[in-house]
Amino acid sequence: MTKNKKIPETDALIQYDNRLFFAQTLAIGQKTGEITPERIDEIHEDTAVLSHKLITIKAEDFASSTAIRNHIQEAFALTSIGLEYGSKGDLEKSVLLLNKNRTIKFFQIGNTLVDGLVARAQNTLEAAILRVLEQPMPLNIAPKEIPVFNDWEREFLESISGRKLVIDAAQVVLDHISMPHPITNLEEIAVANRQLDNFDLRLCYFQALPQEKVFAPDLLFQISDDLPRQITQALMVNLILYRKIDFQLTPEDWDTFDDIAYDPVVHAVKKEMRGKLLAWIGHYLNSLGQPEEVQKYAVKYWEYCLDRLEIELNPGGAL
Amino acid sequence: MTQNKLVDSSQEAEKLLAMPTQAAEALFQSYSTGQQLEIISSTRNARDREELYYLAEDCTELVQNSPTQDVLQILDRTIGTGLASIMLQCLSPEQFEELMDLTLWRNGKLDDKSLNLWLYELSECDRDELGYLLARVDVRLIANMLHDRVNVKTSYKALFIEAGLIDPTSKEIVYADERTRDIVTAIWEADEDLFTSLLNEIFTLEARTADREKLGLEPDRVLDQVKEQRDERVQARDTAAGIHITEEEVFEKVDLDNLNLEGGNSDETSEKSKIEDDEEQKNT
Repeated sequence: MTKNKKIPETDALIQYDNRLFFAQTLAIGQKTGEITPERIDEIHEDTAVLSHKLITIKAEDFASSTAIRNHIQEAFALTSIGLEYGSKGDLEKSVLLLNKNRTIKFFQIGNTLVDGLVARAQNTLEAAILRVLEQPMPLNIAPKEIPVFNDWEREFLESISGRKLVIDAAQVVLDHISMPHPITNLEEIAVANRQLDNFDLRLCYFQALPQEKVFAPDLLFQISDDLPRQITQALMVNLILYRKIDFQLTPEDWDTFDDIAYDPVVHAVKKEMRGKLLAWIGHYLNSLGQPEEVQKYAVKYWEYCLDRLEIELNPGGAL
Repeated sequence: MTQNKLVDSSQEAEKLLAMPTQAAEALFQSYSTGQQLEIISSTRNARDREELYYLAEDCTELVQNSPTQDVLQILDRTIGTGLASIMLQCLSPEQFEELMDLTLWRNGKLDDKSLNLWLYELSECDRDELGYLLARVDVRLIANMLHDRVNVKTSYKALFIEAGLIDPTSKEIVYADERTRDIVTAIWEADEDLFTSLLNEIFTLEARTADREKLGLEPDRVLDQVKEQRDERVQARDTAAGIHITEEEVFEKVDLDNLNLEGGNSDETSEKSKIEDDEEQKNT
């Protein structure tokens, strides 16, 4: 995202330039003459030295040209992120800052930002987990730990730990991921942070559910790549059929739910049922004093779970 | 033997690599060392470079006159297989020290996996060469890696070690695995004094760790001292090579809420930038 006040009209297309912010800054500085050829040489040399240092510090295999290339890209990308952050995405300002500061300074800013993101992702992997506090029965076969993220989301978190990104936009729930790619700009850091915010909110939502029932000893969940969604859907069905907070379901319950709540004509959960469920979760969290953002997030999450439920009830997909 | 600079060393390298081995050796050996180095450095592919080194009758001189990082590229292809030991033995002690400084530390921390691999590779070296190379590895590093894999089971450890009553085959020594036994045996065969120093270090490390645990203290910082010395060597090499960025700077965290970029920190701030900055501040 670049803010640009005084760039000549001919450079309007720079807003859509997909080069690194660093490269765009150099191009503008060169074009306007604000960065002298000597300074350009200096910056190139600084970046080369930085890449070299990064390789000697991080490379595990000096014979791997891919790994070496990745470290060079990392030096450029982190410098670019730092420059974008320092100038708040203003190319004109970034030219000034680049003239005034050592290139390493911007690398340090970018590295600090990405390190922060990595630490946050690692913390989510360890902390965004529901844990049973005490074992009620010795032969309890229910899980003792339930992460609030699904398998795709775990991959997302692990990729961040490896300083890579596998998403292009933050979603309530990740149900697909893209090829891992290096983090190269502030917008990507913002996307990753928004997704991490979602996990924090989802943890609050799940922690607000009665844990003794989530971890009930006789509760059996199917093997699923998305246990949090399965728990939420079980709660929805129980609320509709029995008007109680529970997570226990039988195959007959699904059939009954299908009969009562599903409209086969429009292939969707009946509107009034959907409305009641969404209203219920909002009220429930409100009554527990959960912050508004948790309530809003939970409603969105429930919408997503209902959408997925509709797909599961209509496996043919004839919508 | 011609002393002239080659017109196209990279073409020459390609030609040599395409020739039958004996003919290639004869041609390569007809060049001066300078020309041979020129041919080798013109080839960026590590596998090809390795082949070119082996065209010399003895590649020691060539290896010792090559940049250490170029040699490391070749060694990294075969490290852990036992095959790298051929080239390892050609390194000068200084090159080996630089190599260890580069490869045993990852992201500012000791990389146990890498140390393990290198020690295994070294255990495959000729024993005379090994002693000569190991003299360049800080024995505290090896002790740090092996202390939980080598257990000297006697109540008189210090005495036994000092008196030289223990060798790698002694029944008092229990190894966690065969690889550890091989490494320790290789060290002993290469240099008995080093072996004794190693056992002493392991013993001291164990005792210190136990004492500190009893007192509820953090583990000993012996590795910090080793790293400090390594960092000094790296910085000295970097300075000599004109590299002005330190590892410390690469790892330095910045306070994102208190950035002072407007003031700048470059000595070569352009006048133009200063003027524009002043103007911007006035407008603000």
